[in-house]
Amino acid sequence: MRTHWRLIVLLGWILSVIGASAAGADPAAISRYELRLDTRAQGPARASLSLVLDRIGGEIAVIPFPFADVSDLRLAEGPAGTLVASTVVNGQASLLLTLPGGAASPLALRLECDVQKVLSEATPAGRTARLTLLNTQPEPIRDLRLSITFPEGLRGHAIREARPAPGKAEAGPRAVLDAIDGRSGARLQVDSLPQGETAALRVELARAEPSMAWLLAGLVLGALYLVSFRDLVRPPAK
Amino acid sequence: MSTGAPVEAPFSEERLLALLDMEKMTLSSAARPAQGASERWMRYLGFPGGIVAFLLLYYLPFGPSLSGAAQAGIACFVLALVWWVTEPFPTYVTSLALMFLLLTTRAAGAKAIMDVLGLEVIWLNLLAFILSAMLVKTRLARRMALWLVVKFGSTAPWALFAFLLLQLILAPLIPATAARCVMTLPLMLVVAAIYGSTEETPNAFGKNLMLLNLVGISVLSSMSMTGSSANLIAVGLIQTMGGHKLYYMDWMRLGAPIAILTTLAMWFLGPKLLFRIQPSESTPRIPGGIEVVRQKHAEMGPLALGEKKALAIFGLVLFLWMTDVFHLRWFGVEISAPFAALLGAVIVLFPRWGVLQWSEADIPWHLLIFSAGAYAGGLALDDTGAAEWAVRMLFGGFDLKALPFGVAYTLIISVMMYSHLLTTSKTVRTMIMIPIIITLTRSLGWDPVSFALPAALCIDWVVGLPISGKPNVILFSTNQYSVMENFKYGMTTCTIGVALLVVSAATWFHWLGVTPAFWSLPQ
Repeated sequence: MRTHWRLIVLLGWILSVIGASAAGADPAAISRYELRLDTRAQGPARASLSLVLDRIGGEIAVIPFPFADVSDLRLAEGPAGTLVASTVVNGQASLLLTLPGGAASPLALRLECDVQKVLSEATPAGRTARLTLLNTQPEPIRDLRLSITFPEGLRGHAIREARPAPGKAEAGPRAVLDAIDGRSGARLQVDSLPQGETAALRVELARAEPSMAWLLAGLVLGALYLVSFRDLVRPPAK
Repeated sequence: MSTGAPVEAPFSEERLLALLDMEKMTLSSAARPAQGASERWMRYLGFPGGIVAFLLLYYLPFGPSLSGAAQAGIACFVLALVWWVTEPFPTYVTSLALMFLLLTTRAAGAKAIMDVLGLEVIWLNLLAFILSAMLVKTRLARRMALWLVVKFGSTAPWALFAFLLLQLILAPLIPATAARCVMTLPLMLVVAAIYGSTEETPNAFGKNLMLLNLVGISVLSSMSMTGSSANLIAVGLIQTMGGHKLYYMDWMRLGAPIAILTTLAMWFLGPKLLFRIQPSESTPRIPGGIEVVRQKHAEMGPLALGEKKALAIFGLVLFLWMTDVFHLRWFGVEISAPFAALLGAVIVLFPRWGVLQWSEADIPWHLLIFSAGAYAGGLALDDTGAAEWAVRMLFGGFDLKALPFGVAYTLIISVMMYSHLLTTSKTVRTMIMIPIIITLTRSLGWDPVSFALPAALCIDWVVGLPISGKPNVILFSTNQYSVMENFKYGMTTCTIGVALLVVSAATWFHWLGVTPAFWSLPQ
């Protein structure tokens, strides 16, 4: 049933794009894109996507999305009657919004869904949280904010990837680790992501409580040294 | 200049000749013996002290904005810093331990740690030592040192002043500080020996000589924007982020007087206040005094063929170092400082035409390992964001909003000046500090250039610790001074620099239109 629904929406989208092109209409312009991912140690992550569409090109808006494996997708805030669906075209995931007639820009919406594969499998070195968004739309995505909160008991060990690289006139790093709603997390912010550009955030995670092995090794080594090197502080023999 | 006879002459003529025979002088890898009970205790407690510092920094919760890798990097670096300062074992052993800890705490990857041995600075050090060995082997260094002492070095203050002048001349010609250091090091060693200061028996003259040269090499690089590549990065940041184009003279008219005044102040204060040179140490400590030196210089006769070759090779390298801005136009490729030295090394080691065999080149690998460890630690602090986090935490601790310009300026300049103690790379420090200063001061309502340009003048003042820069590592290996003595001399230099920069901001920087009125409030 879901597959049929997706096909219908996709067909509608293709037709509307063709129609819009023929009529000379512009695609939707995203002036704010804020995606928050709340990861859990087990199971899918909960995604919350807040959007502001500055211009609505037609009844269907295509929103680039980092994940193809989407479930429990719903509209949390926005005009009543808006239909939402996820699709994958040429390997690129997108959300399709079918807007009700009379929806005017600027239009604020919030979508929620569950997504898979945000966290890698656990290894002895830890886990990795990853998020990659490719702007497949002609218009740049402005004010793009991506954030990930880590599962309880894990902390950011290192930001291994943060794209796009900061420009010469930008101060500070592209992505930072931060507290998000009282939990450890990471944020990435881009003023404008042009068509074809990718925003990516990859964070290596480690246990929030470090191993006690260093403490043990340090104390033993320190004590051994103090005993073995006592002669250093003996006055030199005359 | 007087030619007073030495009061005490610890060297016989044979000993002097042995010292002048610098082929036998190598940069020792042996640990410096502890001087006095306090230093012995420092070494004894330094090892566990470093471990305690590591454990505290590794386990204390610093909040979610500091990554695990950054926290581990800070813990490892501080441990190494404690061990480098207290010297429970040789500095290069600490560097090796640091590299292992960076890997096992996951502060840095194996490749990043190993790659530091391939850094440009390591290559430059290695090649510069080959060139230095050439000067020693051909006895050109001996001739130059004797000439220097004969002309200027009849008393300690003038000998020190001669080196200050030498560094002042070389600074605008050779941007690479390590190159400047290595090419003058043989002269320093001989002149120190003539004044009775050797690795085994260092005295106040030797400490002043080495540390004044360190200050001269580093601080005088801030005279011009081309003094170091980090200066040029700062100029670029001020232009792109601060929106202010800086010209050569904009920098020089501010930087040169501050740098020269500070170096002169250290020339005066060092022997009188920090390491007092006793009257008995202020003349050459050899029987016959300066006359013997003059005689030895005369005995060398005209330039030998080897010396002429060495002069020609060194001249070629020097020429390439000085003309790097034209290389692209001339050769279609830029021959950077290490590659110029590499060309010199090729000629030096060339069969028949050269002057040296590989076995005669005294390459101090322990120094390169020490440098590599320090760079691995510094790069880990940069790559993990630890250095940036520390700076942001520091600035976040000050409420600069309600402060007059002069107070905010003093705080920011002080942080910029002393922050070199926590990094091993001027470039990294520039990349972190200058953008933060520009955005911070702009958000406070000031013209960012009023802060960023004077802050950029502090970039090259990396004189606080033996790990703070390349010349520091090289000069420390002479074993003429301790880490604490380096710290004392370096901190005095930096404090004089901060004081001069603050006084200048209140006076002639303001008259030149660079800074606003000292007590003005943000717009």
